[in-house]
Amino acid sequence: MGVIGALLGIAFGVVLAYLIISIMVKKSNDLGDSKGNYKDFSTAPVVIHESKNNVSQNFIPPEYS
Amino acid sequence: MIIKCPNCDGALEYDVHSKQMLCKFCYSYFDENQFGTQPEEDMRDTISKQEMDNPSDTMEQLQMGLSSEDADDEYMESDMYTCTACGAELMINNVESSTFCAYCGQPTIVFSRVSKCRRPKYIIPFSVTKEQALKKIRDTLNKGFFVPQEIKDFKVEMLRGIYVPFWLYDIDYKDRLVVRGTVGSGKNSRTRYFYRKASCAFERITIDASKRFNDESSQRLEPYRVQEAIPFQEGYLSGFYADCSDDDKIKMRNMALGRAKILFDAEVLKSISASNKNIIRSNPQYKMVETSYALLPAWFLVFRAENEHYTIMVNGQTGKLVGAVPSDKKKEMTVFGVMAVIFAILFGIVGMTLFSTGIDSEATGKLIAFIAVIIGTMWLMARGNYKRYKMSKTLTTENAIKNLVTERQDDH
Repeated sequence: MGVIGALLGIAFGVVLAYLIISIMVKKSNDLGDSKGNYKDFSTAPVVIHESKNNVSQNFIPPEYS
Repeated sequence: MIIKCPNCDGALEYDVHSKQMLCKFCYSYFDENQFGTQPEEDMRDTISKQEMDNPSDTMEQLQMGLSSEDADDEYMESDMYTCTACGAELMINNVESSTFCAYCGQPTIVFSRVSKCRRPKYIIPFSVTKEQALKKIRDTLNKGFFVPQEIKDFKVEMLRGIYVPFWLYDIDYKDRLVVRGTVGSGKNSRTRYFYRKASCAFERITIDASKRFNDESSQRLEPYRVQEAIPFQEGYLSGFYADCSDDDKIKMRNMALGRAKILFDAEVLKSISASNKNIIRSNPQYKMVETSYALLPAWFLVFRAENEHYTIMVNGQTGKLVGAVPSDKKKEMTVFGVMAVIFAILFGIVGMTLFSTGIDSEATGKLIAFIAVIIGTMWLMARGNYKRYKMSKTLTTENAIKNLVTERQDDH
């Protein structure tokens, strides 16, 4: 079991290094790839008029009034 | 495009610092308003295509196609002259007695054509200068640990300020969503369905109106502070390039609605406390409150390195950089190798120690599965980072964007 643990640990370590290097390269060489988000195109938040947290799978919303 | 100085016939440019037109030959300043042509008064009204008392259109109705709005569009005409000595193009609105070129001073300008272009309603003038844009790019690349030295020492092939055409959409949007999600975890997790009825008002969603400019690239220039857009005057264009809208209006309108849906859905989903959320039913309705045509500023820098052309963009209002450069592979592999060895030894010892303790087989199985999921998740996250980086590099080296910048009259 110790060998399995060691192998898992090694795999975890290598993949962690891969993740960290991917973050470092992206931060260093990708100058900007973000797009506008909701707050850039609207000064007011989304208004939730109606909210139900446990409806059936076949729930059909009522027509717009 | 160049407007001539009334004093000395030199080339006028919009000066970012003084926010006036400046002649760099005689250092005269002019208000940009005196170089514009006023559109007809009745054309300046923005007409809502969806009157407030009509029912809202649905997404389905839009996709069937609506009538074109070209009849109400404003157009501007300018006499364009070309210098036969240096090839420069000049816009001259009034009949001029002088025939000297503003670039080279030669008396060789000839009438070329009448330029007719849709007249923008708004413009955001450049607030980032050419020098500031170049400095920002150099400073950012110099800080990049994995940026190759050849790229840090790049020589500028071309740096152009271009006013990019955009359509701005004000949209009242509402939807009724049924969302499937997972609540709880492990054995206690279950699928639940949520209902939300919500609405919002979008202000000036920007959609680029140039066929030549990749939509993915133009969206990365966002956000512009569009509330700072001002009424258009031709004077602002002097010293910069400007493109006209040439993309299909129905297509752009659909894109604006698609964008509104993505932004709206993301906000509504935040109100639901669940994981693996999926919208299974929706009925969006919208009202196009206002549609405006605007020119928004961007700097485009083209340079060549490692046998490739790169085009870095700078938002001409906010200074945001867009683009990606290749990585120094040797450095990247070295750093990865060192980290991988250190982490492998460290976590290998931890793993061996952990699994050598006398834990029962059921717990061991769960632990192995848990660690495998963590490893899988980290792997996917790393692949996602590299995929997004590769996409950015592809857009930066795209020939279409390089041609958008370079296939114009020579800059002065």
